Amino acid sequence: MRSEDVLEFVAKQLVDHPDEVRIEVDEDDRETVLELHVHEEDLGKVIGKRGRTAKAIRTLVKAAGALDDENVTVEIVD
Amino acid sequence: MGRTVHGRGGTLQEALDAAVRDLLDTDEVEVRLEGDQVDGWTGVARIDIEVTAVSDPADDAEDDASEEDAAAVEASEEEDEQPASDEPPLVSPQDLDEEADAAADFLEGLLDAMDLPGDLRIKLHEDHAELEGIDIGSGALIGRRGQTLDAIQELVRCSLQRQFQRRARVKIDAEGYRSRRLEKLVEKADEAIDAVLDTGEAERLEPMDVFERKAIHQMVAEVDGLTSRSQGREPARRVIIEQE
Repeated sequence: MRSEDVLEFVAKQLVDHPDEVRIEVDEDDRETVLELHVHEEDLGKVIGKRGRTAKAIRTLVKAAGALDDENVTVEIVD
Repeated sequence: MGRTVHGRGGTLQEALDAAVRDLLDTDEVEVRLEGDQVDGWTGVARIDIEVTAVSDPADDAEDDASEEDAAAVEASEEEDEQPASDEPPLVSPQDLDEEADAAADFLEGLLDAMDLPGDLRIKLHEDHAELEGIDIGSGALIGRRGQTLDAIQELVRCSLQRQFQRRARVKIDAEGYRSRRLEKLVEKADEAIDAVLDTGEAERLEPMDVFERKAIHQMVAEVDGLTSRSQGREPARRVIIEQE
């Protein structure tokens, strides 16, 4: 799934603990929810000032999902 | 009153030239050498100096405009308070190379994760690098009104910031989208310049990213009697063109 691959790749580029990046996939007919788990120290890095980084991650992952006609939502969890 | 700018260069003279570039109307400056260091990798001397204008004719309002000055001048401001005013500091060619390489790795990895074809083209400019994805065969990296490209730009910025602990100067493009947009923005800015000259009333341009704003500020700087500044917060930061 491209959306999941993109989320994993991008998250690992942003954090200090790439080994602790984990993604849980929750899929139903209408949408795919990707839950992003990162080390607690990295939470700020994937959210960013005023949520700017999180917004960019969502935009990019949605674009990747669209390539597979998927409606993707990203949730960030610590 | 006294405005402080910073300059950086390979020699004291270069650093000084860089620092005083926007204090041209100043008769007298006070120079403080903050420290020097030699980069162990390249042997290039880097000297940071602080120059304070003793008699500065510019009024306070112009402090706001200092962000759009030449690439080599770093306004002394707190990054955290003004995340939006991120006009370019001077970068050494080695730093730029390193940043462009890292950004290329990012983009390659992204194309791979998205399972898209494509090549990368890197151009190194004096104060920034340009990385363009080409032959991707779709607008997947661009998105509606460039929003995917904006997201990629932001994520590359964050990733480089983490790796190098500095503000990176790499501009990301895909299939020439940014350069086409810049051409259009330049046309619109041209019209706005004419309008301000005609009516004397300030013109507010559409939101632009840091590279686009810089290009427009440079355009306006070449027009006698006009000045420009940036207003608002990213991604809604806009250039205002007005009479001096």
